[in-house]
Amino acid sequence: MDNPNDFLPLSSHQFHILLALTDRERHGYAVIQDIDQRTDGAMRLGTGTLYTAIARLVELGLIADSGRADERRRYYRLLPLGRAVLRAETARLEALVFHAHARGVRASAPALRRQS
Amino acid sequence: MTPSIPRSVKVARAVHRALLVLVARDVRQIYRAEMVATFEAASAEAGARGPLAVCLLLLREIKDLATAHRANRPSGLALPANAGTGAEVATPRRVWFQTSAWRQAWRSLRRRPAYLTAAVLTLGFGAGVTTAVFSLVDTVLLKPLPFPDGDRLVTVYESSPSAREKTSLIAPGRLEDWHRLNRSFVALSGSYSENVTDTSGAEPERLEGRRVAPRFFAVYAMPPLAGRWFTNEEEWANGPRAAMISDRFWARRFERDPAAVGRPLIIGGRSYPIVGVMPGAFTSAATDVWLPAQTNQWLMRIRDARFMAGIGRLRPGISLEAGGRELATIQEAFAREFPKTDAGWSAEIRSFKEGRIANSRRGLLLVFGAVASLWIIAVANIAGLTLVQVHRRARELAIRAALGASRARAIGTVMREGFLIAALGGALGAGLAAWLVSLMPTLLSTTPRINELTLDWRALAFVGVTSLLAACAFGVVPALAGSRPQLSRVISAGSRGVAGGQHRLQRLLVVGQVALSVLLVGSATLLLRSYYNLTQVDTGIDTSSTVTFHVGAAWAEDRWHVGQLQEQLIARLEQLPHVRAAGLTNFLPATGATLRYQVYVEGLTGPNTDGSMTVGTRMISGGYLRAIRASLVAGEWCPAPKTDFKAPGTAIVNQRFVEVHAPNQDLIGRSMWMIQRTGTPFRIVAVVGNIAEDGQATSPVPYVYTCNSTGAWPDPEYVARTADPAAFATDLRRLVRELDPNRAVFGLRPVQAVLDAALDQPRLDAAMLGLFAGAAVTLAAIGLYSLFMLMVSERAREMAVRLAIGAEPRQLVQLVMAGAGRLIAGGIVTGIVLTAAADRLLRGVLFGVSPLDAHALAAAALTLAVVSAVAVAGPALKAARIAPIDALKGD
Repeated sequence: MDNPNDFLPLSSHQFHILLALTDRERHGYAVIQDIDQRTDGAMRLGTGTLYTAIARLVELGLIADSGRADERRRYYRLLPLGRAVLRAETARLEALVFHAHARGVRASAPALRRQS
Repeated sequence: MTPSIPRSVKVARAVHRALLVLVARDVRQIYRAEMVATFEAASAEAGARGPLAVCLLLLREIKDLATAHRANRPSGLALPANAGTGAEVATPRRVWFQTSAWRQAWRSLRRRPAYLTAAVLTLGFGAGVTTAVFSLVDTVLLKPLPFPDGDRLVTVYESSPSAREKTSLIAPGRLEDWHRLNRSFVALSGSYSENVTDTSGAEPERLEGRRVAPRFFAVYAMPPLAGRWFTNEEEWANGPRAAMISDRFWARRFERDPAAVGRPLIIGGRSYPIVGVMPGAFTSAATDVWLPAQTNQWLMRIRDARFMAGIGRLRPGISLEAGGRELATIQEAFAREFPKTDAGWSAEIRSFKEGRIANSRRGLLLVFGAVASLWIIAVANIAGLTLVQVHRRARELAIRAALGASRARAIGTVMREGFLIAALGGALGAGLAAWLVSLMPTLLSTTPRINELTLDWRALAFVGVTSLLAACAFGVVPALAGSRPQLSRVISAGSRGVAGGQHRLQRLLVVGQVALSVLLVGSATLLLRSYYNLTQVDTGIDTSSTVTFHVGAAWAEDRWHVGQLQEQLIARLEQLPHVRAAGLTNFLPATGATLRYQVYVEGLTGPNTDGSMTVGTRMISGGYLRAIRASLVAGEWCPAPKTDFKAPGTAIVNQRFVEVHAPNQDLIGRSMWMIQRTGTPFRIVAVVGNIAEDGQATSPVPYVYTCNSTGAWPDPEYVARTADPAAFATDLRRLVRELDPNRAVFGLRPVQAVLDAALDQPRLDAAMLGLFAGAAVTLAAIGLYSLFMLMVSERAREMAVRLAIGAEPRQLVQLVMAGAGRLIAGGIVTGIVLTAAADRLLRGVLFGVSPLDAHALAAAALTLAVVSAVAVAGPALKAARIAPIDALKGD
C-alpha cells in the first residue's frame, strides 16, 4: 500500500508526531516537548500514547529509527512515505475546512482543542 | 540529570515502570527502555519544578498509559470510525480494566440502593464474623506457639499408674535428677504459683507470682522484652535475689518505663531487683512476677514433696515417645534406689501445645463450622438477590445482546458489580473483624492463647480471599445464568407458566434456612429463659450492700500471726458505725468450690459404710453468715472468732443436712468430727437455711459450716455488710495499714458481682446463640425475599394474563403468599423436628426449662412466620401492582 491516501485518516497523535519530525530528527522526549510547545500545552503526550503511536508509524513505514542514538534514546526521522501521507492528510483536512467555509461555518477563534 | 534525585521523582519513576504493563505488549517489548528513558527526562524536568509538578506529570502519565491503545485511533473528523488503522475494537480484557466500565457499574449499583445495601451488609457481616472466628481458630489451634521451635516444648509429669490421679506434679529434687541424667532434653525445668505482696509502690499490692526452677526461661527460649533472664547464681539456693516481671505488670505499674529494670520490688520485707520483662505472649496466665524458686537443699531431698509443674524442651529430632521412654527408664532406677518414695512412680511427657489447646479444639471448630455455614448461606443468598437483579434487567441485557454486545460483555457487566460489592463488603468485614478481635480477649478470657490474638495478615488475606470467592459465586453464577442464549426468549415471550420444578435448589435452601432459624431461635429462647431462671434462683442470702475483699497473706506464713490479724480486723470492722456485720469464709457461694468431705455426727448413722455422711463444707466465721443474711433456723451463730488452735471449734449445718440425715432431730449441742472420727470434735450450734453454695443451677445438698480458729485459712474471702461502701473502702485500708502496713488489700467488690460472674457462661452462651439466631433469621428473610421476587418477575406475564381475564390483584397476592406459606411451613416444621432432635444436646445446659418447651418453640415459629411474611410482602405487593398492559406488551 504505497498510496498515501490508504493511510488516512491519521489519528491526531500520529499527525502531530509526523509534524514534529518535519524539520529534523528527534528523540521521543523532544517530540513530546515540540508538540507541547506548538499546541501551547493543549496536547501533551505521555510515553504510553507516544510509543504506541510511534510503534504503529514505524510499522507502517512512515518514520524510521535514524540510526543515531545517545544513551538509551533513539532518534526518529520522517521517511518520504511519511512526508507524503502527512501532505495527503493535510489536503484531506484542508478539503474539510474548505467545505465548511463554503457553507459559512467558521470557528470564532483558531483554538486548537485538546484531543482526548 | 541532577545528582540527587528527589524522592517524588523516584516514586513516580517506579510507578511509571510498574504501570507500563498497561501498554500493549508488542509496543512494550520493543520500546520499554525508551519509554523509561523518556519518562526519566520528563520527570527530571518536573522534579526541578517541585513535587507537585511531578505528581501532576505522573497523573497525566497514568491516564496516558491507560488510554495509550487509543493513540492510533483516528480523530473524530474521520467519518467511518472503524476504518482507521488501529485496533479500535476493545477486547473484553481491555473493557474489564476500563475505568469507565467500573464507573458505570458503580452508577448502576447506586441506582439500586436497597440491593446494594442488603448485599454489602450481608457480605460485610458474614465476612467480619467469619474472619474474627478464623483469627481465633488460627491463633489458638493452627499457629505454632510463640516460642522458638515451640513444638519441642513438652509438659513433664510424674505418673503413678496405680493412683486415682494418673499424673502428678514433680518433686524439685527429682526434677534436677531427671535433668542431670537424661540425653533427650535440652533442658528440664518447672515452676509453681506463689502469690506475693509487694510493698514498693504507694500501696501494698498483691501480685500473681510464680517461683521458677533453674533453666525455666531457657526452656521457653523466648527473649525478654527488656533486661535479661535470671543468671545461674540467681537461680540456685542462697543466690542473689531477682525478679522478672510480665508485660502486664510493667504496663500497669511502670507504664512500660524502661528504667523499671533495676528498680526493686519489696516482697516480704526483702528487696528483689527487677532484672527483666517478659513479653505479653509469654504467658496467658495473669502472672505479674517470676521469682527464682531457690529451693534449699533440705527441700531438694524430700522426694515426695511434689509441687513443681514440669516443662521441658526436647532435643531436635527426639520424638515425644522417645523422650518419655528415657525419663521412665531413669525413674525405674530411682524406684529401686529409693523404694519408699519412688516405687510405683514413673514419668510422662505430653505436647505443651496440645495441653494448652486440647480442651478448646472441639468448641472452636464447632463455632467455626457454624459461622462458615452461615457465611456460605449468606453468599448463596446474595447470589439469589443478584439473580433477581439480573432478571429485572433481563430485557436490558437481552437488548444489548441483540445489539451485538457479546456474552462476555454481559457477564462482565454483572461481574464488575459483584466485585464492587465484594470490595465494599470485604472492607466492612475487615473493620468488623478488627472490632470483634479487639473484644475477644475480654469476652473469651478463659480461652488459651487468647493473649496472642491479633488481626494479622493471615486474617486479612482470609477476608480478601473469601470476599473474592464470594464475588465469583454471586457475580459469575447469576451472570452465566442471566446471559444464557435462551434469554432472548425474554424479549419475545417472557416466561410463561413457570413450572414448580424451577429453582428447586433455591427453594431447598430457603426451607433449610427457615428450619435452621427455628432451631437457633428456639435454642436461643431456651437459653435465655434458662438464664433468666438462674438469675431468679433463691440463693438463700441477701447480697445487697455486701462487699468482699482479700488481705494478702501467704500459706507459708506463721498462722498465729495471720490469725491475730484476722481476729483484730474483723473485730475492728464490726465496730465501724456503717458496718452491720463482718466475717470470713474460705469460699464464696457459686464460685466452683464443690469439694466433699466425710463427717461423723454424734448419735447419727450416715449412709456411708463407716457411718459417716458426705457433705460440702465451708470454713467460716459467724459474722460471715450474718453479713450475707443467711436465715438462722435454729440455735445461734458461732461466737466471735479467736486465734486459738487448741480450742474446740463450732459448726453449723444447713437445713438440707437435717432433712437428709436427721429429720425431726435436734442437732444443737451434738459433737461432729471431720474426715476421721478422732480428735477434738466440733460442737453443732445452729441450723441455717440452704445457701446456693454449689451454684444457682444445683439444688441444695447437705452442707457443714465450721467456725475454726482465725488463721486456719490464711487467705479467706472477707465479707462485710456496710451501709456506706465508699467510706468502707477508706476505713478498711486505714485499719489494715494500722494492723500491718506490709499487707495489701485487694479484690474489693460487691458479693453480688461474684455471684453474677458465676452466670457469665450461661449469659455468654445465650448471647452467642442469640447472635447466630439473629444472623440466621436475617439470612432466611433475604433468601425468601429474593426467591419470591425472582418468581414474581418470572411469572409477571402469566399474572398479567390472569389479571386481564378478570383476576383480582388480591388473588395474585394470595397466590404468592400461598406459595411462600408452603415453603415457610415446611421450614418451620423441619426446624421443630431439628430442635426435638437437639433435645439431648440442650438438656445438659438448660435450667428450669425443658428443651421441648412449648413457649420457646411457639416463639421461634411465630418469629419466623412474622419475619417471613414481611420478607414475602415485597414480592406479593409487586405482584399486585403488575399492570396487565405493560407485562403483556413486554416493554
